[in-house]
Amino acid sequence: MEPAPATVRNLEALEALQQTLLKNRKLANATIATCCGTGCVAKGAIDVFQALRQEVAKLRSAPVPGRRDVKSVKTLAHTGDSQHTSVSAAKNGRAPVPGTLRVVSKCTGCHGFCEYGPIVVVQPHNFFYTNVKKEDAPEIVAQSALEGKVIERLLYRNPVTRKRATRAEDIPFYQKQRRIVLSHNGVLDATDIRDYIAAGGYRALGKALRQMTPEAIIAEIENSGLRGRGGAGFPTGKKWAACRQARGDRRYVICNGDEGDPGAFMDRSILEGDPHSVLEGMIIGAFAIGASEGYIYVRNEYPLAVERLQTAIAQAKQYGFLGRDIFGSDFSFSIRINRGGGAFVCGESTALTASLEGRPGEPRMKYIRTVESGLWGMPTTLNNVETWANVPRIIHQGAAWYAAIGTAGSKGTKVFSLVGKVNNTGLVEVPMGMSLREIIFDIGGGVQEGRQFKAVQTGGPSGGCIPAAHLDCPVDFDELTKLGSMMGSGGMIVMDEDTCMVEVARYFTHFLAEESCGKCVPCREGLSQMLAILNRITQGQGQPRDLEHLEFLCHLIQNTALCGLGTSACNPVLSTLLYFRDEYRAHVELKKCPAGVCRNLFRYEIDPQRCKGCQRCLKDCAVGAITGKRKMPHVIDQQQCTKCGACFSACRLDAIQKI
Amino acid sequence: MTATEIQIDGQTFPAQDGEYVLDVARRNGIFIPALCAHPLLKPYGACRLCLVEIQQGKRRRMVASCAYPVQAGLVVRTATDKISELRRGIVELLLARCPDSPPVRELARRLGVSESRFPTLYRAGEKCILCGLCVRVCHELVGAAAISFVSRGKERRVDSPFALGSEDCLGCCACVAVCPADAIAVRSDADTLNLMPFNNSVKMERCAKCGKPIAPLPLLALIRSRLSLQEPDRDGFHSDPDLIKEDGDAVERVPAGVAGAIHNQKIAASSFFLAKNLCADCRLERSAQALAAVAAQQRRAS
Repeated sequence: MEPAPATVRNLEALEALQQTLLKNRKLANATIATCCGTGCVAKGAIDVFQALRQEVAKLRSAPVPGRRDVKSVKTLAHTGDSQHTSVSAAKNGRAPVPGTLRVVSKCTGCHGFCEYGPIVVVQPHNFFYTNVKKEDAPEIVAQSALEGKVIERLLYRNPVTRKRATRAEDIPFYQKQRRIVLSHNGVLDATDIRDYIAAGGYRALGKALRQMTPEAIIAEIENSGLRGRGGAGFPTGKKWAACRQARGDRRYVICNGDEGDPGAFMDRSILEGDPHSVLEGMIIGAFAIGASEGYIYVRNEYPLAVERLQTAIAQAKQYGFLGRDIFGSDFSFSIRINRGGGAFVCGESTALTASLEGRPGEPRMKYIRTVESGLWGMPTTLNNVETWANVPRIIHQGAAWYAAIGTAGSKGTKVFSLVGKVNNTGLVEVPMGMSLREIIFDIGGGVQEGRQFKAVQTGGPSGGCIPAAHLDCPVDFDELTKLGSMMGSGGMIVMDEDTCMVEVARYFTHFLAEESCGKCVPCREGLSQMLAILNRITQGQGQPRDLEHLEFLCHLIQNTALCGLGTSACNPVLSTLLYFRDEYRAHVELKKCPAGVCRNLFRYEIDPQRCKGCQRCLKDCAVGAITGKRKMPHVIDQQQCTKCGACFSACRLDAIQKI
Repeated sequence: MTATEIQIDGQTFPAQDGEYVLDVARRNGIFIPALCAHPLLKPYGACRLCLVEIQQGKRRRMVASCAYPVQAGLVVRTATDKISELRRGIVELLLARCPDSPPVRELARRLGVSESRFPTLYRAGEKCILCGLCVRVCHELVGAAAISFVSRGKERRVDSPFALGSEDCLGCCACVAVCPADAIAVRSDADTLNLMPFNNSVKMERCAKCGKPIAPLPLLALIRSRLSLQEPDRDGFHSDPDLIKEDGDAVERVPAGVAGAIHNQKIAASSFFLAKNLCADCRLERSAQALAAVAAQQRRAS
């Protein structure tokens, strides 16, 4: 039986608890872990999990095939979403004998390999199953869990070598990663604090509270070289030290979980898959700076993250990791969750603070810093989810260990959400300093459908687009800034040859103009003017001085905008103007979109030499713009054509071209 | 407050801790354009026109002078080429928004901008420059918070909740008074005062004698409650706020003093202070009558 929750008063008690929990977990003959991260859930992981659960439950009532000695089964424990079923071997139908067969089915956080989800891992053999369907559940339980046999067809197959990989470590996607923050994701049941404790959770907190002074903790974080993972990369230890020294009656710690970048889900996955690491980091940070209250600001669009956090906070209270006299010390701390209303600008620290206070989420000027006057005018330390999640690891393993990872200026690892036209969409965690090429081609598996790589946008909507020429750039805070982009919170959007860079710049400018709070003139008016120009250019109405005006506006906004949203908002336009200026000129001067994306700037034409008159395109055209007799070359009526591209995709002979 | 010194454009000026760079510059006659700064309001930093360059050690950067606190040894430049270029850029953007706004045109002229290179993206005749003075006056000074910013980005505007008119509007018109762009219109008829474009509508107190509108009802109610005065009773007994103001600094004691005066001087209650709410003309007339009555009474007594 699992021990009942009880307040942990010292490190020895935690140690004993961990040992008990570990022993219990070793009793399990097999653990089936289903990834219930966002990506896998979207691809049907909940069905898979429920099917597996039913199969495990069946073990209770039905004899296990091939095991005649198994007579009775009972449910061991039922915690959160996980299900522990034990199948007891009975002798003569009486009392169970030692050697109980236990199968545990649980759901875990995101593995990051979302492209191949739903993912199921069977322990202790470490079978890594991809693209699992609910129909596979009986086989997984009967074959893999009970018999320890691998199911070949569910294994990942390397698209190049065609070889199957049994374990995660054998898959190229994981081989180059270094998972520190994500190490628990895909392993632990996020709804069960005991999983976290068994994995060594809250030991760093015990160490910090009972064996370290606040100054020593801050020194440790400073020595680790940890920089804020929210985007700006401010040294975390320095921030904490300034906050500790600032004068104020109360202090606060805030966790920024307002992850608003389109396509980014790093923080979401951490909150959903390993909420306790964030809580533990916050509690350590609060002790270090002398705060007694903390807030987690999380997007309302992340209901699962909110739920997991609520569960985690309640469980941490049960064990005495939150509340009064934590770990038997005289330190008390509580955490509240605040849900954001969905404004991108609320990821900015001062806007977030205003929103927490119940005011409109608009930034203020930071000449008086948040560490001196933040939430309700009190010294406040605000860090990103990933930053907080790094803290327990650093305290546990030491600053030297952490500082050994990464580059001179950027230590540790960074989680990226690798999305766009890349083969292995997902979450990757790599040591700082890895090149873009390694991330996109070795881990990401290159560009989809064998197309040419064109650019990668790093750092979310206000990041810059980096072209192929700079693929060997090491990824760290300073190098990306030099290229006109930024680390941001870790978005990475891969674009292929069919991407129009002017349209990309227009898209992100549109996003930022809409998300600008509108408080300051350059951001509100300037971004609107930029958007108007970019709209014109992509519609084929570019004017000779448009590029000059764009550059002036970028210069103006960068230098004068009030907050980080404005000052970084020009990166997409500036970087594309720098690296893809020819495309802009083609749009403005020739009224042509070289990538064939901007509808007013190209047309579809049928090459009469290639067209065999199969009528495929004619049938697919929704507006009847294509005419032609069977086996005769077809023609597109340009007046009627809406450029939807249906004919282009329908043609199997490449007879339809974008001109 | 401790005194310190800062340097602006090569000259050294005394400054107080807690002041902002813009305060010191203005006090010493150094021109820094600003549309959203007001001496009675907290710094806001939205118009970005007051940008200056500061130097701390070797590090130079642009800051908004309206919000940058003075520090000992601060070196400020207010008129470099870069600053002028950026200010002109900002005023061009404002000019594109409100091409017909007199204050914007005036500022543009002063900064050497005649026309904006950018087209206007708003409805013709837009007057509001979104400096936020009205909103901040209403929140910070009046305390009514009847208007606020609505929407974001290009759609941002000042309005009442859901554009339905605010129940918290006092009709004090502080927003109108503070607006530098003449963007708020007051319309009034016999019974109500309307503030546009907020759709705020408040009832007017009317003169008990001639019926002319005197002041917005919620505003009178607020003044009464702030001065611990009672609502006029059935006979119309209440102390006229204007009279109390005239009484000078001892505002808190005035009601008692007034009551005492009535008692001591045995002024006929009906003639003077029991008058219902009166407009200025009627009050003058009534006062003259009352004084005449008192004088007559005193004459008879002597």
